[in-house]
Amino acid sequence: MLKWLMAAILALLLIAGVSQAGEVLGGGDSSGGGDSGPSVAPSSGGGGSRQIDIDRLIKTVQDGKKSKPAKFEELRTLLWKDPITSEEYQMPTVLMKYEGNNTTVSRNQPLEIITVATNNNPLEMRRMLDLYLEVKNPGSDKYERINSWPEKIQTNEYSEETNTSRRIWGMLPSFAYLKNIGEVRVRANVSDGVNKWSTARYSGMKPPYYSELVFNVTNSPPAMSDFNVTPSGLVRYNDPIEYKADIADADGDLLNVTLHILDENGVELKNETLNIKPGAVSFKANEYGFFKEADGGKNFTYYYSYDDGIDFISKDPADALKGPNIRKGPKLSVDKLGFSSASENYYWWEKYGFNLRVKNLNPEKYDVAFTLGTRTGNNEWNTVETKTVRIGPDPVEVNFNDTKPFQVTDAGQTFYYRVKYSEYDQSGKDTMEQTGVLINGKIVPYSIYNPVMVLNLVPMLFLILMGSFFIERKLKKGIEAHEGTPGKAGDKKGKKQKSGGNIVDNALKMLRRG
Amino acid sequence: MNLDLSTVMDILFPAGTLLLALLLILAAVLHITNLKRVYKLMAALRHEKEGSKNESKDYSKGGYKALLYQEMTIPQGINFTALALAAWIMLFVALAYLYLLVPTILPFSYMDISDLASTSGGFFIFGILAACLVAGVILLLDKLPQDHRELKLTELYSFYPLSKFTKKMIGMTIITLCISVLISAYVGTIYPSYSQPAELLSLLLLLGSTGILVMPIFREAWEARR
Repeated sequence: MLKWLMAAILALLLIAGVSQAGEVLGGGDSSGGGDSGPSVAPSSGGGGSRQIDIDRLIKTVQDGKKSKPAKFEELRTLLWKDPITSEEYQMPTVLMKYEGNNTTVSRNQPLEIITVATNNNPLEMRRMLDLYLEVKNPGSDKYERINSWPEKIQTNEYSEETNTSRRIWGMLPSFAYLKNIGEVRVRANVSDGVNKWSTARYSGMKPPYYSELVFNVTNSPPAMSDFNVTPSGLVRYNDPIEYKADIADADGDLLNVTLHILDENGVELKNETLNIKPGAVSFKANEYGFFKEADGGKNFTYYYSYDDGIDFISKDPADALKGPNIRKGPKLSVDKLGFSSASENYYWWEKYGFNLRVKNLNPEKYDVAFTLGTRTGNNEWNTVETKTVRIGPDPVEVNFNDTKPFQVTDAGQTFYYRVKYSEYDQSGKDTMEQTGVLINGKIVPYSIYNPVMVLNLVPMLFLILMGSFFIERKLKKGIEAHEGTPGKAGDKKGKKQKSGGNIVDNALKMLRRG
Repeated sequence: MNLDLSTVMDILFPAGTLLLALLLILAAVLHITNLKRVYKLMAALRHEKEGSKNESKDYSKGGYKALLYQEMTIPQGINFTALALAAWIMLFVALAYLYLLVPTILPFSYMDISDLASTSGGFFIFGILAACLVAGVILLLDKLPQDHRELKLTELYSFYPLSKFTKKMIGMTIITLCISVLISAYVGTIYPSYSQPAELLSLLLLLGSTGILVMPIFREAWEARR
C-alpha cells in the first residue's frame, strides 16, 4: 500500500510541480514555509528549476503520519488508487499440494507442504496474493494460523508457461511439536486485496493437490533395550552397582524412565525416575542408596516403566530381570598399618616390609584380598603385591615382606603406601593409606669398592687403553714416524705381514711393537 | 679475614676448572702458533734463497706446508704414540667423569638419566660412550689434509723433540688419569652427597696430567721466545 502511495506522490509532484507538492506536504505555501515544509533542495543556479530530495520527502510523509494524522489521512484519501478491477478478472486458484505417498505420518516425519497458486490474469490485472497457513490440531475445534506475516506472491512471480507460483511451508517441517496424536488438517487462507478465501472451498481435487490436507499423525513410542546390571554375579551391597539400558524414541521426545526394584517376593521396594533424552539410561545404586548392609544374601529383580508424554509403557521387560545378587560378607576392622625397611637409610633399592592388622567384626570367616600399593609425589599408585588372607573374628597380621616397591626415580621423594582390601572396613572404606618417609636421594646403589663398580671401571679403563692401541695400530702414525729410518720399519712391516696366530698373540704383538 | 675450609674449597674448584680450561686452550693456540711461526720462517728463507738463485719451484702454499710438516716430523716410536693417544683419550674421559657424571659446574649431568646411571653397567656405559665420542673426534680430525697436520691430535708430538723422561712422564699420566676417573666415580656413587676433597683431588690429578701432556708445546714456545 505504501508503495502505491509513494508512487502516486511522486507522480503528482512531477506533474504538478515542486511548489504544489510543497503546498500539499507542508500544508503551507509554495515557498516551503511552515513547520514541516517539503524538503526541496534549491539548485545552485538559483531561481531556476528545483531538485527533489526523495529521502527527505519520504521522511516528511512519515513525520506527517505521526504528527498530523488527519492531514496524512487526507493525503491518503486523495492519493488512494483502487486495485484494478475488471469484469475480466479471474480469481486465482490456490491449492494445497503434498507429494507424500501416505497422509498417515509419524510426529517426527519430515513434511513438505506446498501451496500452488495459478493466476491466469494478464500481468497488469494480477494482484498480489497474501497467504496464511492454518492448522487444526488433534482435539482442537479451530484452525491456528502458523505464520504471523503473510507469505506474499507478487504479480510477477508466476511462471510464464503455466501461470503458477508455489510456496513451500518450511515453517511446518513436521508434527513433532504435537502433544496429542490424531487428525491434523492443514489449509491456506488467501487474500488478493479485494477477496479473501480459503483453499478449503475447492472440491474434487486429486492427489497431489488438495483443498485441505488431512493428516493422520501417529506417535512412535519409546523402546528400551540392552538391560544390564553391573557388576554381574555376587556383589557387595555398597559395590558400585549400576543399572544400565538404552532407550530409543524415533520422535526424540523427552522421556520419563522409572526403575522399579523388587525384592525376592516380587514386591516393589523402591523406584526412581529419570527425565532424559533418548540414549543411555543409568541408575547408580550408591547414588540413590538402593541397598543396605542388611540386604546381604538377598537376590533382587527389576524392571522399567517409561513414557514419552503420549505413550506409556508400564513394564519393560514383561518379566522382571534378575539382579543384583547381594552377597553376605565380612565387616573388617583394620588398623596398625605400618612399614619397615632393611636399613634406616631408606634407599630406593632396599627391601621394605608392610603390615596391617585385620579382623572380622562378624563371627564368620571370609577370604579377603589385600593389595599393597605405593606412590611417591603426585605419581600414580603402583601395585606392589596382592595376597588373599582368611579373616575371622580373631585379629590377623597381613604382611607384605621383602618387597621392592621403589624405582630410582623415586629417590629423594616422600613415599606413600596403602592397602586396598576386597571388603569394607569399620569406616565403610576399602582402603587404608599412610605416609612413609623421605626416600634417600642416593641414585647409584653400589659403593666404589663394590665388585659391580670394579667390574664397571676396570674393564672400561682397560678397553680405553686397548682401543687407543688399536687406533694407533690402524692409523700407523708411529710407523710413519719411522719411515725416516729406512730398513727398520720396513723389516718390521715385513714381519707383520708374515705373522699370524691367534687374537691373544696379535694383541701382545700390538703392545710390543715399536 | 675469616675463611672457612668449605669456602676455600668452593673457590678452589671453579678456579682449578678455569685453570684447566686455560691450559688446554693456551696449549692449542701455542701449538698452532708454533707451527705457523716455523712455516713463516721457512717460507721467508725459501723466498730469499729463490730470490738470490733466481729459481722458482712450483709449490702451492698447501703443498709446501705439507712438505714442511713432513720434513719437521720427528719419529717418536709407535708405543709412545699409542700411549700418548691413550693418555689424551683418558684425559677427556676423566674430564667427562669429573664434570658430566654429577653436576659440579654444569647444571646437567649423567645422574639426570638416573634409570641408566643406576644400572649395574651404568658407569661402564658412560665411560665407553665418552671414550668413543673422543675417539670419533680424533679420527675425524685425522682425516684433515696433510697441510693441516697441526690440528691432528694423533700427530701432536711429531713436531716436538721429546726426551725419554718426557715420554715416560706422558706415559705415566695414564695412571694419574685413571686415578682421577676412579675418584670421580666415587663422587658419582655417593651422589647427591658430595665430597669436595675428592672432587678437588680428581681435578688436581687432571691438572697435573694435562700440564704434562701439553708441556712440550709450552717448552717449545718458551724456547722459541728465547
